Amino acid sequence: MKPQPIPATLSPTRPRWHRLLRAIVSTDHRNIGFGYLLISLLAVLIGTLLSLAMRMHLAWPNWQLPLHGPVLPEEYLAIVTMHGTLMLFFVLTVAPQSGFSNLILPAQIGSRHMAFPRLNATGMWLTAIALVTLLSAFFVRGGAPIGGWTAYPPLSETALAGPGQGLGMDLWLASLAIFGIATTIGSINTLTTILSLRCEGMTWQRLPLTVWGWFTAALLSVLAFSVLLAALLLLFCDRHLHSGFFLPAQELVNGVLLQHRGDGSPLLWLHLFWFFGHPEVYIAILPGMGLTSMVLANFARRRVFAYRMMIATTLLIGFLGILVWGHHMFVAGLNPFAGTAFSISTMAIAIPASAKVLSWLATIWRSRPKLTTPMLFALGFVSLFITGGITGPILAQPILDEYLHNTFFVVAHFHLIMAMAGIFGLICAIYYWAPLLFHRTLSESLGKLHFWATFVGAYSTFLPMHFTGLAGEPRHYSQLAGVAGPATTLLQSTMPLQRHITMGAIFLVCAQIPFLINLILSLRRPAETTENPWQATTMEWAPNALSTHPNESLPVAYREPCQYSESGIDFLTQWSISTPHIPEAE
Amino acid sequence: MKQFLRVHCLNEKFLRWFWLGGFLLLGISIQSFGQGCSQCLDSTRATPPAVQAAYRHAILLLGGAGATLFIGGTLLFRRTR
Amino acid sequence: MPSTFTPPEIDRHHHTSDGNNGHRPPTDKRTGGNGEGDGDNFNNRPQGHRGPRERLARARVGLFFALGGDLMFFVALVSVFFVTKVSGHFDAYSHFINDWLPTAIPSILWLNTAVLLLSSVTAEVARQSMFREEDAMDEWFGMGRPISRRATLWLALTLLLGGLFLAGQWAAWDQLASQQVFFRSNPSSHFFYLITVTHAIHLFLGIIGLIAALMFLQFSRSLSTRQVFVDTTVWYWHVMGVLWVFLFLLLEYGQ
Repeated sequence: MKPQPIPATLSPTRPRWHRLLRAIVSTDHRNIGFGYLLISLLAVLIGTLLSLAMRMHLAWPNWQLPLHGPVLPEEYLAIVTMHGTLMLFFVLTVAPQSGFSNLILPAQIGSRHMAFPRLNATGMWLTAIALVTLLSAFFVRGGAPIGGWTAYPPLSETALAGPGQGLGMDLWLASLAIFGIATTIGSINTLTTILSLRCEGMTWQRLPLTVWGWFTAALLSVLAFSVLLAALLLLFCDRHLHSGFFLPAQELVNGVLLQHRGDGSPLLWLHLFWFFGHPEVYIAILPGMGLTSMVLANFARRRVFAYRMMIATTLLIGFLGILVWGHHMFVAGLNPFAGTAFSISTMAIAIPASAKVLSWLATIWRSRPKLTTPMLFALGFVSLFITGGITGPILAQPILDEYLHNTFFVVAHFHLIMAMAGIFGLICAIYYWAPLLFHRTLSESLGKLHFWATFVGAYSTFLPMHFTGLAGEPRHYSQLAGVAGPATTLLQSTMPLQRHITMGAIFLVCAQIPFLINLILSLRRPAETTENPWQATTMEWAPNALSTHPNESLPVAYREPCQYSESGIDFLTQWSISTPHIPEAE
Repeated sequence: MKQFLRVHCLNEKFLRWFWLGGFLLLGISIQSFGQGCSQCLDSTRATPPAVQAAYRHAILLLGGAGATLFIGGTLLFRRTR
Repeated sequence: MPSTFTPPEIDRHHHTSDGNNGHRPPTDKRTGGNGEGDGDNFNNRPQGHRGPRERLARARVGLFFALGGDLMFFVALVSVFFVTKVSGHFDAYSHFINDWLPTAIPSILWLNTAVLLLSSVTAEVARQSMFREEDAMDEWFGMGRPISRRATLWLALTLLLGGLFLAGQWAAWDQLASQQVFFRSNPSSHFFYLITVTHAIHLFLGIIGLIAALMFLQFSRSLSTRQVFVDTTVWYWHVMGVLWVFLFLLLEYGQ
């Protein structure tokens, strides 16, 4: 990688604080991207600690949280709520969509900058404010909210419903409202960039699939977060202005009779929330799916199988994702006809999703790929996507969801297909684009160790949850032993599995240590100068693609990505004019 | 080169059958005759028809608006280049 | 159809080679240099250098998506409106009681609607004046500021009318308060206040936009910047106006 020309304001002759200040207020998309990744890093660290606390408590209920004491049931609920909120919003929405798109998208479409740099910076700072607001809920009176990341009323409607449902819940609402606005701003930026700033020759058929993933996710963001904002506003009115959008006129909470003006229903909240919530989980996974296609093609030295179909499936999954939200509400008391309609639309998503899996497998079929670390994580993504995805059509059937709703079967499903696959996508992105972002390739041996440990840890943690879920283990229960009634023996029988899952979780967290060591060691090495070490074909690998120097010549895209010869040794990049000699022709 | 072309045609046909077959299976699924659980039936019976209609309209409005805007955004893409 | 139709860039390159068949290259028969010599045609320039139109298009695309998201917000509110309107509870005698008492809309809202529509008209006049070709050329060359003056005038008028609208909304809320109809009075009044307040907040953002546009008209040295600001603000204003018409009809006849 040729060293980038350093702007005068950032040259080493300026004082350090000056450079830091400029980096902080910068509207350069690379700085903003790193800012987003820092936000996600903080969120994932805290979210992971919370999940460990959760698992320790489930497996060993008398275990004492250090500096705190035993985990009380309401504290367990607070841990669950904050874990879900942090991970889903601040890690899985921010990092793949906002973080990496800011870093890599402009280069991939041959642009030098994003469409609205100042708006972009505003979005990032609003996200940071949202994170701080959310984390402050831990420290206020009453503590963090306990309503789950889904915040169903009546639990979320009144401070009387439990500790943390007062100020903690209000801070949660405020944080998500700010986050929604920030994400909408970022998505508008992404969409306009993709629509308007593509370089010459970059037609929609030549766009890398990562860009299609970012496009679809951004489009879903714009549509979904507004509805969340409306729902949060209405919940706020219910909480503080005594309206009754989501609650009946009178209800007894904790011995206190609450009066609301209006005859609402929690079902209304569920509709609004899940109209947002389902596109949200697709926003989390779409960029990863795009990256997986490109990385698999890169290291298998093959064209992506059925490229245009992959574009169509990306858009179709996004489109269908808007129409399936009722499948989270099969046991909420929906009209059975509505349940049927949502069930069919949900199972319809299995078709483009399977087409994507087929394409991934067909791309690498009989290809003898180079098993570098990013390739391994991309393969891991495919594996987790299949495993997590197979339980999707099971849960899509109301009659089966009847039993499985709110059990750990659902937890296993979304952790495998969204959390683990999403994390694998993020890690794959870091290893793959490390030469661009850090000017260094990360160590392969440490990377392979990281992969295998994480892969084994992911499966050993979440696969057994299918069985505990089938045995009836409910979500959000902090106590599995000593529960009164016929459930006792059933839940008691899952305890060995609970301990196994907890050990798996600890192993999974420890498996990230080689990754940290890898990053630290690599960053201490001097910067490398190999250009395009993966011999990729997409535009971000062009010389000086990530530089923002205005006088560089404009990039031009001459062909589709992933053009490899039969042997895979010769390849045509998107940015080069020349036609190389292909010895195998005729 | 010829081998590659032959494989390519085969893949296209397979894909077409895959899509057709997938949607066919979806269409004839027994799901089309959902009977509902007892809780759902009770809830539905306890809801006045006006409220049921209102929910139906609300679902269609939200879903329709979202779908229209999604398609509009995608078509805008096609128009700009 | 636009007067000039720009083919996609990949088709725009002319073949100057002989196509590898030994013939002479295609002769340049068109006057003006076959397009190669047409340096005045901005469409031949690389993307990103085609002039102010690009910036304008970019701003409009961004505004489209922002307004799309905003529309979903109001669609969600309207959906909740329809469900809440018919919701009720069963009393001790199993009668279904629906508590929705339609709120009488203060008639000043009709005046407010007319004022808002008028402000859309003035805003459109301002917007169109930004793009009048001869005046734009004059201003760009520095020969006077006909565009900025005209647009400032019409935008100031729009700002005045917008302010009148907000004042009228405030008067409507005052009227209702004097009749003891508050947010908490009835589910229908929940929605009246919710809808009018959220729309008023959006319109207030539009007013801030108008003020910003006026300031840019006064102080910005780039004509294209001024065009972009005025254009986006006015389009936002139009959409808020149309949205208000729908919301007002909903409140007036949908309760």
